[in-house]
Amino acid sequence: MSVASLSATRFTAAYLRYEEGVLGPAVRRSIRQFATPDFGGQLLRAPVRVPPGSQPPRQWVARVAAVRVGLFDGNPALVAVLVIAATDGGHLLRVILSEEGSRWLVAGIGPL
Amino acid sequence: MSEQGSRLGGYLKRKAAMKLVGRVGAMKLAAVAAAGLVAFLLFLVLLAALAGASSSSESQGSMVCTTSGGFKSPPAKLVPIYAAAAAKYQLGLRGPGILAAINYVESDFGRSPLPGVAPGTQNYAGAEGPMQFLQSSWEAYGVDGNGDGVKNVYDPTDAIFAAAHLLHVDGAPADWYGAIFDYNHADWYVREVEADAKKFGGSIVCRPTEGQPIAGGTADLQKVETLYQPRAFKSIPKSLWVGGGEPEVVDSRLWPDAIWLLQTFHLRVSAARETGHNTHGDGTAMDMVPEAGKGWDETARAAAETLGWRESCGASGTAPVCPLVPAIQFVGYNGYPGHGDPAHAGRNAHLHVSWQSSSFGCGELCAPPDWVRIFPLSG
Repeated sequence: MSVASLSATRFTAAYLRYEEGVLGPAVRRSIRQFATPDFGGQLLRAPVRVPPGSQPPRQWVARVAAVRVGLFDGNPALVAVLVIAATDGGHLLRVILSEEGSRWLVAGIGPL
Repeated sequence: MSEQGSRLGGYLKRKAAMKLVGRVGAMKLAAVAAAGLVAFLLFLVLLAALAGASSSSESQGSMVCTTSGGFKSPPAKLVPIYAAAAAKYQLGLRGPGILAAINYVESDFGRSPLPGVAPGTQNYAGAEGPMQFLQSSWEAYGVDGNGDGVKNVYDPTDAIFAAAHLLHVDGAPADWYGAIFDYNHADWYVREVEADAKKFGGSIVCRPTEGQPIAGGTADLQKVETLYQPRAFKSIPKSLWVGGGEPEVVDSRLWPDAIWLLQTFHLRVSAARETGHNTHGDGTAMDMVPEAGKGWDETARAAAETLGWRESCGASGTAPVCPLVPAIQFVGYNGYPGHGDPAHAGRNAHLHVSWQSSSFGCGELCAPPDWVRIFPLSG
């Protein structure tokens, strides 16, 4: 469970930078390392578009609130609930992890 | 899911949009807003009649949202286009609102003066038109929405129909989050579209925002611990209590779980251990309502679903019909008589959660049970 939490946290930390339109080597590396090839490839092939004249909120991972067993595409998966703090408030983010070999990798994100 | 990379360039909006609004006189703006609202309501009603497959709760949500005034309405001329496109691609009652919100976020309903919106212009990302399609994605999903024999990315009807097509291919209406996320891979973008869609009349699940600092550890909901001691009660903090009189108590063994639940999901306790209240006499149950200013979906429903409750098993609220986490005995919410959000339970709406214990069912005040099961917290 702690390995999965770590994957969720590390991925999300990189993803929150990605959401701001930052796609430097460190962010790319973390997404490749902690996301499934499908999901990571999807993100890297299609970077976030930040609107001209607008600025996404600055966000960071406050903590992992919960980890539980769930389903993803009909298969057993772990679901981590992360508390995201942000300059415009904060919210909860659901991170879905699937087991790939001996590792837990992020296969998707979504709202709670 | 489609290749999102071939979609859309920059979206152009807030500041330009605000400038545009600023140029319009107040009376004109009010008239436009009122006309847009009336037209939008009419088309949502029409769509509701057409969309027989939509659930009643979805329908109710749309109506509730459309009656909340005080928002910037889509241009009246676009409303029929959103409705028709949503109907054609079976996007349900939320479809028109989502399409309007994307149109707003991407180009201020096509009125943005920034590059990429007006015919013949492109922005830095190569995106075009009121819904900001890239050429490659337009080739894949472009639609002749107005029937003039031409697929024109700058034509509002064609572009809105194409966006509806794309959202449908990407999983809407079954998975709105996934479909909008495919439009732009940012959680904040999805939340912004959903928030705007709610203003425009869609029954959009509220985003959890502006939260107070959340304290507490990490819950391992899949684990369960059976605790025999201490057999005692502990009071709900006053700040988390909204029932009458002094705060009531819960079993001290589940108190940390209870606080985690209340703080994580912005809930407040309306009843804990009390007499004459079925299952509440032993301190292993709590009734909860959203804290002031929070919606039911983002608080009570989110908590219920995190504990394993599903709408489909709401009439039972217990395992194995509901895939509850092991420490929880019963979740009473929508579908269980007298429980749920205001649309289901009226004035006494609440979320009920019972932890597993040796004495589940104690209706009058009784001693702490021999054992209580909890989900452990760490950190």
